[in-house]
Amino acid sequence: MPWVYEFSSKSKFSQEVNSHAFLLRCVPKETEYQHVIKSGTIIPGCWRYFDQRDGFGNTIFWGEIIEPHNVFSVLSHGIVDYSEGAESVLNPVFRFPTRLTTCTPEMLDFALRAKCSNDAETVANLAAKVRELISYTPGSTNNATSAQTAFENRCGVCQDISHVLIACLRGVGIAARYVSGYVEGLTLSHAWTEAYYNGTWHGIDATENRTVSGGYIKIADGRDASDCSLNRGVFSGGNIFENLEINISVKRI
Amino acid sequence: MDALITQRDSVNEWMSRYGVRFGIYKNGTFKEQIFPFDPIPRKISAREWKMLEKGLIQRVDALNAFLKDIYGKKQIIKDGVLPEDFVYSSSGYLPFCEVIVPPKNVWAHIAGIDLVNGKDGNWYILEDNLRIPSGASYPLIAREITRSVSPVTFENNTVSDNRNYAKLLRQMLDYVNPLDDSINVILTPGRYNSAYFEHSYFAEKTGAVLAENRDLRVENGILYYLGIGGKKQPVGTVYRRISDEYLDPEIFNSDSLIGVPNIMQVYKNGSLALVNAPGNGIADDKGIYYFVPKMVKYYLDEDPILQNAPTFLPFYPDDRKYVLEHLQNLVIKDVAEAGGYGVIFCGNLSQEKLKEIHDLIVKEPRRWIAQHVVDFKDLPIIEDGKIVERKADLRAYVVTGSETKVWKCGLTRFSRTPGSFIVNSSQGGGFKDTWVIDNA
Repeated sequence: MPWVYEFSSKSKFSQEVNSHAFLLRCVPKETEYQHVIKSGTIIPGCWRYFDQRDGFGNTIFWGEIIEPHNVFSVLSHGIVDYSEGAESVLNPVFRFPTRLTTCTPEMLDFALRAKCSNDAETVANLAAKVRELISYTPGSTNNATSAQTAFENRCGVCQDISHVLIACLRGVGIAARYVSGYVEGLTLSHAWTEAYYNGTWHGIDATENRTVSGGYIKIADGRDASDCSLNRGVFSGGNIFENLEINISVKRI
Repeated sequence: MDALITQRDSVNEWMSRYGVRFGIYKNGTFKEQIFPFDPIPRKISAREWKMLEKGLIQRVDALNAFLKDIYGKKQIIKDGVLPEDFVYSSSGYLPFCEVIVPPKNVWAHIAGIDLVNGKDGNWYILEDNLRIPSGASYPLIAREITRSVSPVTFENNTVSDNRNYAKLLRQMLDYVNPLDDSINVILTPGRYNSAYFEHSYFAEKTGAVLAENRDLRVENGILYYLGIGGKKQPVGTVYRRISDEYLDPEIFNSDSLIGVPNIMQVYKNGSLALVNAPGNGIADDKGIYYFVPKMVKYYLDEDPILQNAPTFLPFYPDDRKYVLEHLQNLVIKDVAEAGGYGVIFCGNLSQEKLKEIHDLIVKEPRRWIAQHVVDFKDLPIIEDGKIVERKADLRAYVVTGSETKVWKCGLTRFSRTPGSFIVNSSQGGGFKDTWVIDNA
């Protein structure tokens, strides 16, 4: 059953900026089970951008707008369809901790207590335990907050919940990765987790406490959030306030 | 003796006037110190140099083959020569560099290989530096100044000329440059950086343009140098003196104020050579070091000419057992640290401390390597008007462009503390010129 997505983001700057270099991850990733039927992206004011793949195979668009501008917008839309998940080869890098997903002795202890007799149950149980522990508190963390900090403060957003789950899973020997994407019913981007067992990847959304199925459109995956940022930009101009509006819709057709 | 002291004082005075300094960040504070010159050169015979040269070329060729493989097919892992843990758990491995092929497939353009001359007469490799090995300017300048204050020294000795280093660099920078009608640039973090002197010195000597990030801009897939009056020139090679994590705020550390946004895009497109290639940290990782002699055999099918210091990997159960039983005879190194930090000489430790190290190794075996202390030769230095003996190592510079060449000189660093084996400049050591004696 195909799904259609629409993504729009609009940055308004308090003053004109120039030499604006951007890197976007905004179109769905082609994977063993998610297939991009079509997609198109418009970046007004940018007459040429480069379409490349990062080290994890995520699509990145990067370019520059040199002329002074007050607004930077991105519009993307397309259709994806799903198939049964095929076997996939594990990139071993997802077995190891990163700076944002270090598993402290306290976290390892927490994770070991949630361990079950098989990986599928461990993943489900650990996701539920992490969700119980971390209270969803927008504004309590930022994009550089580590799993350790979120675990200690017991609060965060989807990014932090995913980081804590990843750290715990890797700690008990289950490879895990971070996913960012679009979800039916959410107007902002979302983050969830994938765990590797039985020869393939399984998506779990600890924040919403459910397994990942249709209506979850994967844009990027990586070791942690820093590999999957949807929008990075660097520009010149002094003392500028940026107001970012994002609007996402995901619908079944 | 008086002549030597005069020579030393003039060199040190000139170096301080030039602003030649050495600095390092540690624990968040910046320490800057002078790197004192000692006038008695280390002499290496032509015969010995020939062996070193062959061994160094072989080692750097193997390391370049390894980098190409590890960011590509990873055959060395598939063939079971190198356990994957050592690659994927290393902070030097950058997933972003996967499947990128650098121009002309050169990764380690400038390698700084640290060796010591053991009392048994053999040379041992201590460390490979494949990221931004610095320090080549010290012996160059010291030689230049010595030549001007004491020309007679070079009339009485048949010393190989070392002035071709800039030429080696320039040929390499031109060779890897993928763009017609473009310039080479040396990217510096700026004049407050302690190595700024070296950056400007090499720019002048190689004809490259010295640039800070604000002088560079990516536009439509090309990196430009923004000259005075808005004149834009395409840049084909960047000899960057800033580390990987600061290079491109779009990909790496987003707080970087010294990087060039989107420079990795141009590099990935093949329209720019970065010297050295990003991602090289995987090959000079202290854990990977153990495997370099195996790489020589694996990639080149040759026996290694230069040996590592005898090294054990607690990662392997047999090695771990040996290391834990012989701790007091070993040096333990933390693979994540550099510059002489994280090095523990276990011979001097109390039982209590030894127990701590023992537990650390048991807990995280992958994090450590253990080595026998190589008892290396002392070299004479002048201190307080007398000649005394101090431990010294040698950093050899190997430049890879169309072919791999070793600079016939090198940086000899010595410890100023009697008996100490740590010669790193960041630990307060000094340096000497290195003379390769022709026809000796």
